Amino acid sequence: MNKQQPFQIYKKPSIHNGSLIVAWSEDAGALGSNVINYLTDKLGAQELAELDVSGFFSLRGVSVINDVAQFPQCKLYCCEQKNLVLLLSNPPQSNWYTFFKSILTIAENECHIKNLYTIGGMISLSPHTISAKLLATANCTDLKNSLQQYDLTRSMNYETPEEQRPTLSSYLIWLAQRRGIAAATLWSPVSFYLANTEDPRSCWRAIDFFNRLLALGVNTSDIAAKIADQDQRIAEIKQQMPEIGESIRKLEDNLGLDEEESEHLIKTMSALLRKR
Amino acid sequence: MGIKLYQEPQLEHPDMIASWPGIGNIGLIAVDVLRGQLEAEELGEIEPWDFFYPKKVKIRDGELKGMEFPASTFYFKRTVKRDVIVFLGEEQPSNDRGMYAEGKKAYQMANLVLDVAERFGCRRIYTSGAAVAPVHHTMTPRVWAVPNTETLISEIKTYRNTILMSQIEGRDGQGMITGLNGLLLGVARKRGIDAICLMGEIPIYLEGAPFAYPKASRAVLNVLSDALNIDIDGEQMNKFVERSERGINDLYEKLPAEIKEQLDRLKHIGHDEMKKPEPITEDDKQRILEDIDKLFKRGSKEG
Repeated sequence: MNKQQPFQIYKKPSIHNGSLIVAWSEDAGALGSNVINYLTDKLGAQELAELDVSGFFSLRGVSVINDVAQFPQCKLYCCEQKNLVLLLSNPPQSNWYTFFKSILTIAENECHIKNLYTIGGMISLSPHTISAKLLATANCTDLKNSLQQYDLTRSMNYETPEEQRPTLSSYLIWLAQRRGIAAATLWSPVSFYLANTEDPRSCWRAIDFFNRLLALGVNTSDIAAKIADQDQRIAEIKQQMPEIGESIRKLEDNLGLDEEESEHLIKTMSALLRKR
Repeated sequence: MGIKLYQEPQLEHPDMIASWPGIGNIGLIAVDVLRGQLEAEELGEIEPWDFFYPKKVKIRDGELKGMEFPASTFYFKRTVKRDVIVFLGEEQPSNDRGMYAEGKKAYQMANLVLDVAERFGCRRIYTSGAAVAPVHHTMTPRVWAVPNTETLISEIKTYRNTILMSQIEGRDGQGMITGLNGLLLGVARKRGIDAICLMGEIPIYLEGAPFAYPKASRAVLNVLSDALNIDIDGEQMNKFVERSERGINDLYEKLPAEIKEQLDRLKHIGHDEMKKPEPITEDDKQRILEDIDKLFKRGSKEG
């Protein structure tokens, strides 16, 4: 590990023309962490490298989440059988260009990656019961065309509005474009009232896509069980608190909620679904 | 991290005028108007990657078509009387995307700007920013000037409508210039290059306003015009000032009567009387700023 290569590499993977999936750990519905952790677990992926985070995070102290002190990390895992590398990181707070350059350098030079995909949660105003598609943006026409066969939303037109900034994922695939790496950002809609907890449907959507794209052969029946479990818990909440059911019904009927209704829905779901 | 020059013109001991965003964008507007009036040509840029987070992504039909970064651009102009290099930074490099640069990146940016200054044999650097002062917006703002060497003080004393830090009561010649508009002076001093920062006065109650204060920019531009011996057509700036003044007056009328009464007291202390104790106490000032902040928030919601 040095200034040029801030990754500590634990093993040299035997991967050729592989794929890299990147996700951020602070994400709507914990989608990024859930997708990477799920794939790492299911595929038996091994730790490949870890980034020295000191140049990219303020380290003024530590954040505490669910009573536990955290420390930022950026780790790579690999599954050689599937020609796949996975990266899960806290979103960097500074020196973004160097951070992404380091990721792309290790992806190219050590992992021989051909394609890069980012996966993230996208907050949606629709209810969790409405079926939704992944939203994709590619950094080259070839990859965009090759994604045609999947049921994705692929024809977005967008420019960052004033007072907002592009996402980290967009920044990463732009830099990948400059280095000739085909890359795409993938966003899975997460209902706004599940953004502070988990949305297993959103997670399934992402896993199912990668399963088909990369022929991973992962059995996702356990996610189906999680979806059924969450549906059951939401049904119980709706029964105990009819106004919550009413709010979700309004969303299903494509009617907007007022500020008070939205806040109540978010607070209730965040509090009750997190309790186990 | 580097400088990209588009051309290498032969310039004769040019002066460099540099500015980054700050309170009321006073310096930035003054320098940008100067650049426009001079019809200065693009000279080069500082590559943004290591300094800035991108500001805009462009996606067309599901394909990423471009990423825009804040620009840091050099311009130049040969005039009959003096050659000039203008530098405009669209943002200050900051780790937490704050308004002001600090630390290593600020130092690196300042050095890159001075590398260009030295490469073209610059004789002097001017930077520009804001001076938050207990003045009223109906008054003509003065320009506070800070040189990076004592030898420039006598020259500054000849500038119109300009004062040194030591001429402001209670400051005893001390002060702080936040961000790159100030840091560039210090780094230039370290490298032995003469530099002066010109700061236009902005009323304390407009410090946090979400709009520009061109009246102070005009004051800075007038000083720059004298210092550089360059004629400036004031019409464009005058129109900008008139528009801004109307907007500020409208807002001012919406202030609670008690606050307006206190702020009106600022009108009656002329610049010559600034040595008297401030007419508004710190508690008053705090309350006024809170009320004005509320007014801006309400205005932006309504707008």
